[in-house]
Amino acid sequence: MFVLINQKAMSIKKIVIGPTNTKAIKFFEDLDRKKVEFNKKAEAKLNKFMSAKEL
Amino acid sequence: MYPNFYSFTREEDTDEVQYTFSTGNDIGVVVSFVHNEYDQYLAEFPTLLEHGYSFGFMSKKFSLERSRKDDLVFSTIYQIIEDFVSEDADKTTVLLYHCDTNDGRQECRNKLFSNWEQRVKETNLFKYSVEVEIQKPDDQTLTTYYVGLITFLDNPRIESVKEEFTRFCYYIVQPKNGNCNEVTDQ
Repeated sequence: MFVLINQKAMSIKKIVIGPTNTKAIKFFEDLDRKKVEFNKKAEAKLNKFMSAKEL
Repeated sequence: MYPNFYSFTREEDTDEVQYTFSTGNDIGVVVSFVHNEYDQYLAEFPTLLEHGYSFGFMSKKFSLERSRKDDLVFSTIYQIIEDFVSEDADKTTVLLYHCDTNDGRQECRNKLFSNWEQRVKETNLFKYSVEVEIQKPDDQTLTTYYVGLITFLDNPRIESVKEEFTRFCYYIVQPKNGNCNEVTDQ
């Protein structure tokens, strides 16, 4: 795995994670899980919020 | 800063502040700020730990009307960020985000954040993001993630923020306890 650095600005632009980096893979799987939970809660909120328009 | 934006509500509990609004063509939008969302990963990054909030938003269409470009969505979300910072935080606030990959549209979402970056003269917002490619071990599929942060250009801690985010990127590519990714002679 490697990190690609933009030499001019010296800021990281890209990271490539290899298949054996379980730490990174678990981290991003956790982000996915958090996003699924957030989407569920947000959709329920929006359904409630938008239903008020019908009043 | 923007002359017009949609009306919104603000709700909060101990960890989260949530804003909700709807657009002129029946799209509902939730914008959320959560303080402790990433704490378990930020112990070694004190500025991000103290000043970081997970920032996310979700929209849902409630009519069959065809979607059109709506500049008021951006100005409303910007207004919401301003409101959040003035009520709950300050210029040292760092909004941490990652683009949802669950529907495969993470690249579109990243483009949205990049468009925001181009409006820096209007907003004074600074964005730092990285593209992360992961090759999963089970099926060898390649997934691209976009993670990043948004803060104010005049954040007095902006150099620490950049330095810690860079260090976090270095950390995430390191083998865990040296017991994986070991280089072996083939």
